[in-house]
Amino acid sequence: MKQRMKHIALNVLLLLICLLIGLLIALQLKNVETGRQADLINNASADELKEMVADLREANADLAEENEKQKNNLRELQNTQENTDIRVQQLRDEIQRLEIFAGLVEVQGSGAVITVTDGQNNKVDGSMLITIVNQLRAGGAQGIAINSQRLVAMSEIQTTGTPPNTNIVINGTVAGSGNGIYTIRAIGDRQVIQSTYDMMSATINYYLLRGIGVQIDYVDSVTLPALSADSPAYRYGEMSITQSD
Amino acid sequence: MFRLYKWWRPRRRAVSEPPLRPETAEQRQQRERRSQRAFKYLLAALLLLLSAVLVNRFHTLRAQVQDAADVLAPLTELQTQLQQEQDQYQSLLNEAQELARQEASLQDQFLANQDLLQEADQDLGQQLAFSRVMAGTVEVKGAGVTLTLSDAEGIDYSTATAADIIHDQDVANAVNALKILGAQAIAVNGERLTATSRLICNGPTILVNRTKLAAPFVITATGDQAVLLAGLNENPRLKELKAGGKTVKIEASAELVIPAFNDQALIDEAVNSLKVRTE
Repeated sequence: MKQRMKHIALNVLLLLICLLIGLLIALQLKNVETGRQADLINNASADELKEMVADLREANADLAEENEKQKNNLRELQNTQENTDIRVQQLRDEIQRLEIFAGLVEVQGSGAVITVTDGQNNKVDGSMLITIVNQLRAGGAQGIAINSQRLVAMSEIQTTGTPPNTNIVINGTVAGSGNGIYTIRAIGDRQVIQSTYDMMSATINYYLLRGIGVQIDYVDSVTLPALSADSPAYRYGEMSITQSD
Repeated sequence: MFRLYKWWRPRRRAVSEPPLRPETAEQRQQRERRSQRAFKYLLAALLLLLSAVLVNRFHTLRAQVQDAADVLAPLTELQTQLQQEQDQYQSLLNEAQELARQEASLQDQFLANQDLLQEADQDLGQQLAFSRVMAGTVEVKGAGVTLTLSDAEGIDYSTATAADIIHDQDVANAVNALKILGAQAIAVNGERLTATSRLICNGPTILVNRTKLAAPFVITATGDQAVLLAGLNENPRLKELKAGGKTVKIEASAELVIPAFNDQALIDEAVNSLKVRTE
């Protein structure tokens, strides 16, 4: 009897040890797996962090410089507070500066012209133009127009109609009068535009494969029209703005 | 295996298959000793294996802790740097905003004194206000909509595919939809959209102006609330996103504040490359 008990106890002990080993091995395998994943994530975020820090440093340097300029500007404004002529001129300059930035003035500069044309079976879609325009902006384009329409903050790019009779409407106007030729003109650093454009080659190739024509030319001088006076992209007069006090 | 079994369970065998000849006491003793010895060897082998696994585990654990420390040290350092730069960026931006406010206030003060202005300059104030609105350098308040786009809820990012997350294209299309609907001013996560605002993918974030934004993307727009709401609710692309499991929240907002764009450096950069024709 005693021997029998001993035997059972031994069996149970063996079972427990086996279980423990099994558990540990399983745990080990699992750890190796997650360890690998954790490493990957950490590596990726280290690079990302470095890039973020570098970007922020650059932005901070820009901002600090700009703030210095602005402080001088303010000092000058305060000093000339009594001099009406100078103040009026300063105001005109400021208005001009804001209008240029907003796209309300015809401007010239070096940059690129991208011509996008309808294919035999596929028409150009508004989203293609949005993608190209966004990429141009990413490449530092400072002003963009499509055909005769200057793109301002509230400019829309809308595909209207039902296929195959679609048009692209920009600033409330049918772009290219529906001839299927979209000329995107952008002013900016040509080299930066070129490298960003090259980066979107996969997208461009996709358009080309669908028969859409895409052609880019880098030019010394390109002219962008001002936003036309009757454009619905003017949203002034309907909104309440916060007055500075 | 079979041999092991034989050694291991001699008793049962004895019960079910009695030996033809009765076992002598000596034989029995021998058999039991053999069985005990076998058991000890097995136990020793198992304990050996157990200790090997334990040692191995200890080593990997130590290696993992070391690895984690190696990876974490520069990461923590970078995090600190990033935090510092972010704090500086925010304070510089606040300073820029304050300076811009001061300048606007000086200009408005001057313009308020209409007596000083010649007749031809009487509308300068209006022109200034107009150009500020068009450039986006003034805060806009009013009723509008808040559109929130976010990745599918509770997704596991280690296994998520491109179809599970919100992309720059989705945000760009939503913004464009708002422009089509006549929105007056738009911001994405508080970044005012201007004529030069880029909105592009930047790794796991979206870059708007100079700021990297992460999901959820909260797009605020002022305008005709009823038109904006109806238009967004009917938008086929937003419906598609929703059907794909992504978060698409369309809400009416009575009192929205769309912040001003005050990055004067970016404005200067644009103005410097856009030459006004002189002739």
